[in-house]
Amino acid sequence: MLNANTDPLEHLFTREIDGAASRDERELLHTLLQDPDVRARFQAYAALDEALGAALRADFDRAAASARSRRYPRRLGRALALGAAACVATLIWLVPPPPKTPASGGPQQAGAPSWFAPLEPPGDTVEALPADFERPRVRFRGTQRYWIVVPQDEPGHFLIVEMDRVRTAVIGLHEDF
Amino acid sequence: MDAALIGRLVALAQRGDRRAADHLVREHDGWVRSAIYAVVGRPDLVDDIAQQVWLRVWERLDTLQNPARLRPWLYAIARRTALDMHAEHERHRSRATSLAAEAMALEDSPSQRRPPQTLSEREQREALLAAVRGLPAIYREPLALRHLQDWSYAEIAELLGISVETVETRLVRARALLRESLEGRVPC
Repeated sequence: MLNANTDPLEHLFTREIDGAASRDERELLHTLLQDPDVRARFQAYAALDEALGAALRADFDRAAASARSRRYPRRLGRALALGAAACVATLIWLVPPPPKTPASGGPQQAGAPSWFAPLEPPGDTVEALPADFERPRVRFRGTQRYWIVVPQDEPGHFLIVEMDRVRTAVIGLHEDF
Repeated sequence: MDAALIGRLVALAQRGDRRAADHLVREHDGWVRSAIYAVVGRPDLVDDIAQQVWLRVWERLDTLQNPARLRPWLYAIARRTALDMHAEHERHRSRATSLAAEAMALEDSPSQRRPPQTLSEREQREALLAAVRGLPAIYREPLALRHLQDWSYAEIAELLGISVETVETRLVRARALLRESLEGRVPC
């Protein structure tokens, strides 16, 4: 494709080295290359483009290399997290269970309630509202879903983490109903 | 990957299908990274920007009405994100550089300066890359995509939203500008 603002010969060179030249254009170029000046010009053009491509690819590959090297701390973090989880699991397994509460459901010991304590019996408690009671604001909850993509060690492999974030909006009520 | 399959994957991903999303990322991550590199010219920033691009993509996937336009849509997000993050990075760097320059100005003396070196192969490559970075974005982006993805003019044109003829003209001009800026520094 020729353009008035640029050298037609350079268009031909570009189409040839980009693999976009038609059969007719290649034949034309072959004829033109019989001229030593044109041949020298084309060789310089192609050599510069080859050097440019090599430089760009080498530079771009550094991105992948830096990504790989930055994954080592992630791996270390993952290993540490696994180790910590294993320690916690071992501790839970080794620590003797708390003494069982009497079957009669007697009073709980003072202090923090056990996770394994029996639940309070269900039921509503009616209490008189204090005089200075302010009606609570109403909360609405919506869920926003998004993803985090983490490249894995193998090229083209990714860990996609789906995140569900619950967002709460608080709205005041001005009417009783 | 054909357009019908991309359309199905986009529809599934929009409904929250993880495997479809995974397929889309695998299919497009390579050229998205090339596009980011083409925009910012900084290999060390590509990984962070790509991460941010995919976050934005999944946040906005619902807004993609026509899956056939997925590639230009992704490119627009990648380009905008790359420009934003690069500008932010440059702001931080200019602050750090001005402090470092002040410190160096206090320490530097003629005897401490590096002696001139001959232009090695590595320096030639650096000169080439510097010349590419110095190109206007409209020339740099198709040139980098052409070399990194080996895409046809038609594929580059679809991504950039320009005609095939314009892609070719930009490539010719990019190479001419490079040759001018490298005159006498790199054998060409």
